[in-house]
Amino acid sequence: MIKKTRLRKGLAGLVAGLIAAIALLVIALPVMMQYQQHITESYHIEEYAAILKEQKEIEEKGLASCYNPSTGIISINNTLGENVTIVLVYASDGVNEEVKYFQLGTLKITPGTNRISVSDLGINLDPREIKILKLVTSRGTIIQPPYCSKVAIVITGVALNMLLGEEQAPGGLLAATGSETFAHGLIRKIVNNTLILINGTLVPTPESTGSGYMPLAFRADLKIEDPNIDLTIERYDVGDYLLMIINTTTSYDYTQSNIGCYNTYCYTFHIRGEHAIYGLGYSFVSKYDDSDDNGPLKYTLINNGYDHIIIGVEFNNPEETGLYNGTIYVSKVKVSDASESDLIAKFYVDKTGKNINATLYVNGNIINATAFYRTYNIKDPIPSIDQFAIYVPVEDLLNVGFGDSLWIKTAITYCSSECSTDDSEWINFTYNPLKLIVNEVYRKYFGS
Amino acid sequence: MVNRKSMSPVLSAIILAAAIIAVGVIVLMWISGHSSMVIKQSQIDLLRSEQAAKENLVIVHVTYNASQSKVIMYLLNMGYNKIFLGPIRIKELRSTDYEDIFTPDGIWFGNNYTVKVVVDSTESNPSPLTMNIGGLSEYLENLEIRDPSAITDEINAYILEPYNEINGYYKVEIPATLDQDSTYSIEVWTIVNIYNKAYLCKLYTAQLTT
Repeated sequence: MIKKTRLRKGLAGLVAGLIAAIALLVIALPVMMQYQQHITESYHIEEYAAILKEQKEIEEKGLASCYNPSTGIISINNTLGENVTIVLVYASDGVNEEVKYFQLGTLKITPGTNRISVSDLGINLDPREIKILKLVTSRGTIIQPPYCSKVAIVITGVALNMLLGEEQAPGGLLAATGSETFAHGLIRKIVNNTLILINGTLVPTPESTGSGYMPLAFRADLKIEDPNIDLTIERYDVGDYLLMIINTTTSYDYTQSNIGCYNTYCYTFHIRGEHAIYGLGYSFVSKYDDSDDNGPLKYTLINNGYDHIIIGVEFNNPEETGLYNGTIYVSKVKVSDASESDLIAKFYVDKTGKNINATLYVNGNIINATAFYRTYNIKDPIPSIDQFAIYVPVEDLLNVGFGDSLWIKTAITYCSSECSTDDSEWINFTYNPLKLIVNEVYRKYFGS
Repeated sequence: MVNRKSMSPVLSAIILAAAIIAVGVIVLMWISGHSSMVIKQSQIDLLRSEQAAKENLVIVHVTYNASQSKVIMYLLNMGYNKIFLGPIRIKELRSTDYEDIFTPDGIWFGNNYTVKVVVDSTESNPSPLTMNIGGLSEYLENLEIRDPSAITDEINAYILEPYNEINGYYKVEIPATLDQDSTYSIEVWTIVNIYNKAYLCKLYTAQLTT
């Protein structure tokens, strides 16, 4: 009897121990469940941030825009295939600013080309005076349209401001006697009998001047007999890109001329007289305005090239003496500290010492850069420079590809008796190399 | 008939004690592991919340109004409902309108600012929240605090609600007199709230040239 009692007590003790253990587990279980819920919520936060980032990158690539100050029209080409909603518009003329909020869904950018008047957005500033214009989408993408040079034509993903092919002008544009085509810059020529392909980045040269004695980068002064029209195009900026197919038996000049070119060889192409233009592709350099603050930076210049981009600056009220020190930041992601950019380009234009320099810094490597500038004087070019741009081989140096997004920022310090610094905002730029269309044209006229 | 040997009460008590100690040790080890997991998770939460704040908070524009001597910043929250606007500092304006946040000798500081919610062109002032400062070292290192013991306990912050909830945007005004032809760096910090402790993360540095 005593033995049974002891056994029961022993078993009771074991059961009590187990109950205590289970009780401890029961107490800990809700804590663990709450913790698990927290982990799930935390994961969703990360997922949401990643999705938003991805959506913004897609929007940045799929929305091309520009602003025409003379008409007050913003042109937005939406290639995303779905509506994009704008929730906020910011506009400033440098002194006054306006911010307009739009209820979700009231302002949509539909697929295709959209033309929106700033007055329709409720902006009361004089459209001609608007210097900063920003549209914010519902996903947080900021669209900052540069000034339109012409409405961009997008052909199979290649953004060109102008494209003339045999589809538009069967047999080509027949330029009659008295016509002239001129181009200068980092251009290359390929010849096959009477066919000439010219392509490359253009640089103005004072060897040939256009309206207002501006140094010419490109001129097409064409007398077209049928349908009896005159067509004249003149361009004066550093960084335009030209692709041209000419068929001619007329003699022409193609000579080396390094004016406006640093650390590379540039050429001038010039033809006067009869020639047929089979194809003309042209990409204007985008100019991002920064003149509102009267600092030394007037515009940031950016354009696509064959397999590179051109990034540069235009000086505000360029001085004949002093030193312009410039920095160009290029980053694959937007960084809060510009010095953390993937690629940094530094340059100077020493107008007093008559010297220029351009250097790229990437992954610890220092590379002597190719650069271009606009000068108004052949004999004394350094003091008369007002545009300076650097050739940035982004594919080689940053491993970026077609359609990739880049963040670009420029900064200038001008020092004479005192120094003043000016920098641009971060500019989102989509890399659309022109090699696709150049190669396509080459194959068409020259075979593989 | 089987002759069962009885279990002594002393042995029974020892077994009971051993069982409880064993379970207790297991539970304690579990809780200990759980605690280290919580700490690790807190660090993950901090990074995730910082990233979410960075992706969702959009600085639409920063400008300087010389006539009113104010830096004006327009902000939009694109959807994350836990964005807290913390200190804003203009690094170059250490000597003027500011308040020390952490240290008595002013190792770190934030410029005074006001936040306004703008809905249908009407501005209103949200109330700030007060938060306790946390202590994850990697997030305090950024602040160049040489004397963590001097950190004050509390910090003010504003909750920034998503645009589609307030139907508007935020306007931040920083009283400041800026020199002409100069560049200023405006740092915007967010506060991440982990287990009721506030951690500071730098969101953006906006450049402003006058």
